[in-house]
Amino acid sequence: MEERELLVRAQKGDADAFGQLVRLHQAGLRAFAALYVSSGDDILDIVQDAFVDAFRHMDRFDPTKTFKPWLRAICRNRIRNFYRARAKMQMTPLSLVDEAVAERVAEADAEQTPEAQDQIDTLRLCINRLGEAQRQLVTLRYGEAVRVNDIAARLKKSAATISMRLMRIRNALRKCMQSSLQTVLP
Amino acid sequence: MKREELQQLIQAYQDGELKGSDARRLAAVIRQPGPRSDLAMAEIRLSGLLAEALSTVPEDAVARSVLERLNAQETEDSFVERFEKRRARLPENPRRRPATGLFPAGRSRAYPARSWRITAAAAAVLALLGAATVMQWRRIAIRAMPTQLAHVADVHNDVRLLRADSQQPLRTHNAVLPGDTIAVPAEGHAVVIYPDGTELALYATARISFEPPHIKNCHLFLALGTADLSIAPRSRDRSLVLRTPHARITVLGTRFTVHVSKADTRVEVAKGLVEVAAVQTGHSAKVARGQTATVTHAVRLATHQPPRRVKDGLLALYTFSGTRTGLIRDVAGVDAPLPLYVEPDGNTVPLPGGGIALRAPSLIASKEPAFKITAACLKTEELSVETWIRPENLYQGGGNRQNWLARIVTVSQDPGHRNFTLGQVADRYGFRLRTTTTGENGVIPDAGRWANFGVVRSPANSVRLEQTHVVATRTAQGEVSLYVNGRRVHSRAVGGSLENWAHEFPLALGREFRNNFNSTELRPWLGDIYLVALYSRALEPAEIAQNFKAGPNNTATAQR
Repeated sequence: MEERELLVRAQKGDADAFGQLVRLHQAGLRAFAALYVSSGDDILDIVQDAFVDAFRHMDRFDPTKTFKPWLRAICRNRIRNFYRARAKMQMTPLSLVDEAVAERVAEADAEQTPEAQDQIDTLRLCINRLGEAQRQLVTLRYGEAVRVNDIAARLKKSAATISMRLMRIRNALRKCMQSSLQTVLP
Repeated sequence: MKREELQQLIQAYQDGELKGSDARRLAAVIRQPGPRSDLAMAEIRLSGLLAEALSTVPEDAVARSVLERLNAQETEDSFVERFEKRRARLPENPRRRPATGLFPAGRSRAYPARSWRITAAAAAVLALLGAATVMQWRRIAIRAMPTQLAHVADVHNDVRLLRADSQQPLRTHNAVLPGDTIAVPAEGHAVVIYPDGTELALYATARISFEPPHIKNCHLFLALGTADLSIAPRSRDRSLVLRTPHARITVLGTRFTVHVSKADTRVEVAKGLVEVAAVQTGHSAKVARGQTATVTHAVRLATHQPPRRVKDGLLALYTFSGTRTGLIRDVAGVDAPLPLYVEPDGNTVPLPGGGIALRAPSLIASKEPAFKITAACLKTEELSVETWIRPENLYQGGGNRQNWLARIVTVSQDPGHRNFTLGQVADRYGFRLRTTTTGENGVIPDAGRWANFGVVRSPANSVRLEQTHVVATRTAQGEVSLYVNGRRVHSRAVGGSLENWAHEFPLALGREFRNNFNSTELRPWLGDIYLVALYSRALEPAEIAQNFKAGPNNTATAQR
């Protein structure tokens, strides 16, 4: 079934049709949220909430327009609210940074944001090119969200050493992504 | 600020370890538009992209959760809300339409009668032509693409999906199409949900076909095994028909269980009414709540007892029946009983029919260490914590700030040291479990804001102010699962063993046993508790469903 028809059915309250829309757009929206949020759990929560918001407000969607930018705008609002809510909840110095990030998210143009799905695919290729120890470190830190101090304790190294290694890995990944993305560009 | 310094600040921010002055500096950098701010956002972006690139969460997880939430909402108040919205979108009666710039109010009434008739006739012809075209198109579309009937909400073990001539493993969120067959192995379990909320739970050896083409007027054909069916209410002309080799069961909306063996079909009705007919003779009977029909060549009716609770592996059982003030008996009858004592502060009230109401924080705990529980679980490396409760508030554990886990059942010493705790944070249930990898407080290290919930948690909005069955299990292989009302809602592998469990902790209900130096809170939970059971093994999904069906006030027990 074409997206246009699914949209029409979803606007009539058909949750099943909306489920198919979710399946079509979930990877892209997860990638979009990953541009602003660094925890995997938070990304999943935000994206789910955004889809539920979208379903609730399907009557506000203009079917002559494209669905993806509208969805992204809802997701962006969710991300902004996530940072604001966390800032209010923590009441610590970290709240200042959360509020600042929330402002940057609010300024971001959801329609102009580059496609993150390609970046994630490229990043996966770049991670595969890392050595075993580097891959293990990056998986602990970002895949399993383990804190630097705990990685250091687990690997019996100092936190500064782990921090430095992670920084080098990030720089290597960034370079790898830039060169890979350039090579596929026309 | 150099790039390296910025990277370190962001790393500390993501770890929640940023100091006050550094936080102010980083916030200022992010706020001030320019290359430094862009660099900071690029660092945050790379972390998110890395988290997503390394994520092991299946791509379909979002769709599954969203659909579950939408289905849950559909059955509740949002249905009314959406109905109101749809009604609001309907065009108003033209006679009452307000004046617009083009047509003055009441213009339609100004048309002469003949003109009105011609317009109406033309509109009717056009509508008929349109409807015929749409019907034709729909017929073509239906032929071309099979309609999805339902989706798979949960799968346990190697359940198979048989479609056309192929066979494949059944996965969560697979679509179920007409003609599909699902085959469940001896230790397996699967849940299928229809868009209208109708739910099929399939257990050991079940083999069920959906709208099989070779049987007329049949929605489901259960060839063998056990299925629990919870059918959403439907009109008489849309009754659901389930066939077995022996029986034809017609339902309008009810909850019942079907067991099919080679010899017969047994139908147990838990709610509502179904019509059961013998395939061979056509002999039929209506089966009401609390009745069982056994079908071979005729239908035999009997009144059945509610399902018995699982007894195998039971360590302690508290049903709160006949609770005399101050003492709650362990009625498991296994080893030395572990009674619980209630603080005589009047905050805990016995409930008629069995249960206690915790109206304000109060201590309910064993005077002895819960040794029989810890020792047995250490031996098996397995555990099940089961409870029937009714929360007093939708949000507990610090309200929607999700500050802490409000303790429902706990074997622990104080807010920072436990073997396990089943509790509530905000509108979710959570389970903390001490293993050699989770540490003394039973949480996943570095889980960020999720740490409070423990190692597994139920979805948002899963707390209801009604009697609820909550079970947490841990297998010897380290799989920890949480079940709400018989359905598994979260499951994850938690590494390590239980060898670091402490033997001296008591069993307590409703709050921590005592305070420690670092905490001023006893993490109380308020509500009613009807049953608490502890097992030295991980109950299987079918057993959890059995205990759920047995209900909160049924103390009859059975072997597996």
